[in-house]
Amino acid sequence: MNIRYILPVGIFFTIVVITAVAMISILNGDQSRAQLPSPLIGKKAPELVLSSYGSSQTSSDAALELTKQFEDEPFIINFFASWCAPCQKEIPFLEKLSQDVAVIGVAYKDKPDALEIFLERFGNPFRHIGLDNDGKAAINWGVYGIPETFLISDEGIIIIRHAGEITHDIYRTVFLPKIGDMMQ
Amino acid sequence: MIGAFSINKSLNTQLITILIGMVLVINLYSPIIFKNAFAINAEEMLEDPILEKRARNISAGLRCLVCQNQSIDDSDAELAIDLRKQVRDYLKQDMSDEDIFLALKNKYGEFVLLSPPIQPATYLLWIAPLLILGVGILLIANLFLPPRENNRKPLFQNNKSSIIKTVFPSSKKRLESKTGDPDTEISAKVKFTFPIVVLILSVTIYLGLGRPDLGDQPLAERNEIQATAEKELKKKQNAALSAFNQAKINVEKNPENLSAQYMLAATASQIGSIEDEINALEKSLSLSGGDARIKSQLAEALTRQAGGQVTKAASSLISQVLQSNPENIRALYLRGLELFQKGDMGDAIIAWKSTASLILPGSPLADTLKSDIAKAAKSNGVDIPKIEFARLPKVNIPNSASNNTLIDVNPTLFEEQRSQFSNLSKIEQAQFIQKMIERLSKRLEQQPENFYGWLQLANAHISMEDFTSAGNALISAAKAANSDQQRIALIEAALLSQTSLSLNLLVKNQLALLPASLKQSNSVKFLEGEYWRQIGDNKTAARLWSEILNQIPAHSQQAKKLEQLIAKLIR
Repeated sequence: MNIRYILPVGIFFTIVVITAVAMISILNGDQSRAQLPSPLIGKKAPELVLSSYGSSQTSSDAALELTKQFEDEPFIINFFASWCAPCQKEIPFLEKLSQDVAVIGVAYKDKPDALEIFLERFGNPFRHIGLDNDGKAAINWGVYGIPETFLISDEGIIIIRHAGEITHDIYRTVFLPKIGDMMQ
Repeated sequence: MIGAFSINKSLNTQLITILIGMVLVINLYSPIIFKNAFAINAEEMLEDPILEKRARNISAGLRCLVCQNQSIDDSDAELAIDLRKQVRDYLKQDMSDEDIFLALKNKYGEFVLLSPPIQPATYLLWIAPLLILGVGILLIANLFLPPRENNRKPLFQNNKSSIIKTVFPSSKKRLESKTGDPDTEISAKVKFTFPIVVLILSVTIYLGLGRPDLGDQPLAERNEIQATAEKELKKKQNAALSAFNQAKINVEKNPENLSAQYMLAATASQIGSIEDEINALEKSLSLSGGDARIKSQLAEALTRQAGGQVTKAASSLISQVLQSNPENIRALYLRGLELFQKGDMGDAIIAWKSTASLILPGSPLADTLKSDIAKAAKSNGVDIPKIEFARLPKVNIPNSASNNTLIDVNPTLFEEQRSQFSNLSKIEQAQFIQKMIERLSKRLEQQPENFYGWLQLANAHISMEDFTSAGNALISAAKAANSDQQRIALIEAALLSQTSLSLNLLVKNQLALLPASLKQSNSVKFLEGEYWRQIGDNKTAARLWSEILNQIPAHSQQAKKLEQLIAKLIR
């Protein structure tokens, strides 16, 4: 047989096989957003300057530089909203975490009165809550969608970024070990 | 051996192959070709047209991280909108395009860039299209090249070679250098078979797997489903037709029999013969002496005949029905329709709302009512009113025993519940039965062989006047029935239910399954007589019942009752 005919056919089938294998692995793999690596991990946490909910609610224009509040201790930043169901479900785990580290909430496009009802109903694990009314802080932190939670070390470095709800498993296998390491 | 004709033919095959290939490719990539219209709003745009154009270009290159396979320019996701705004903010700050891409890449990672960067991990990704294109060109060039043997020049070689010379200059050399090559025999064969093999392969993959991106079923499976559905439909149509013919014969035999006429109307409706239906309904109406239910059905049939327009005749029937029973659902709905067609939207809404108050929110008419009321409200320029459907009040029935006891027919418990039941109001009773139906249905899903469960479900449906569901339950019961006793119980229940085509068939089949000895018993004979009476054959019914009469004591109560029934039949 002439090589002229075998070669293209060979290449054709090789491509078909490679494509098929790639497709199958993509279809089987979980492409969830939680698994996409964040470039922020290991870097210094971006600034977080927001008007504050609660104590300084009366002077809501006074922006609060939340990240500056924790110069030498680790803390957690949780992007959430009262209208988001997974955010309600992860409150108990945030409450547990708040016993070890300070938890800061960033209310993403939320209304203060809705927030008040939410905190009353599901609990308030947050030491401070900043209001991200236009979603700019979320973009600045590379947030895909709420809930999203970051653990920041005492040196101000982002250690963990978790996109999605904190489940019992995530709490146990992702957050607890890192916080344990930092405490030592 | 292979003459000019064959080569000509092979060219045709090749052209067809290429065309089919193109169609497949277009099909696969149609989502890209028929791209969504932009999602961007006018308010988001920048005033400076040059900056806006840059913003659009940048947005088109950024991935919407929520929807993942769209750019933020195409997406309506919250995050995409925010990112679009962010891009415009960056532009206002005089950032360059590269800086903007870099800034977002630093926050979201490489994934945010819609076109992946060229790096070792993505080499294959970038090179694959070129590779495929190259191979394709090679293959096509190969196929279009004429054979190397002099004596096998295609008829049109002179024309073609000039094209080939311009498109593939390198082939000129090959054309000129061709000599008697021992491989040509094989190459001609390959030329024929290759396109066919590829074609068959692609079609097989398509038929066997479907399209992975659409997640639909393979074509073969879809065809099968469609074929079974069509077969089922045809079977139903045939059954309906034969039932209609049977009903017609029965009516000819007994033109004055109400149930025969009514049956004819029902079967005519099923085969879609509206004239026959109206005819039969008119006769049934006069035979019944003006029954309101038949009147409302006739009004509905007349409306259907007029293509959905409520005619004068229908309107007067509706008025008559509503006069005797202002809560007749069918008439009330039709009144609403009539008012709607007259342009009296306000009153139409009132009529439809009162229709809604009589039916449960889950009933088939509910959705129609909702959209009708919305339509009326819209053309009247008012807000869509709140529609309140009939609601069954919550009732707490002491749940001392397990939920399933009713199915197991525990006589004492059943009696106990029944005595509680009769103390309840009508609506509470309905609620109770509805609950029972739900429980039964759930249980029967797991135990389709539970005959008495199905029978009880059918009875529950009958008491709710849901005869369609009752019929379905009885059909399931027929599948579960495995003793003569059960069959007799089934026949009895089916005859008690409203006359319908499928139930008549069911009774007929179940009767045929009973042994001859049992058929001679008085109870079965009575049921059989009732069956014939229901389908309009009074003569057979009277004969069977007379046979019973001859076997029982002449002055017993049963005999008197039977005599009355037979007299009715003969009259």
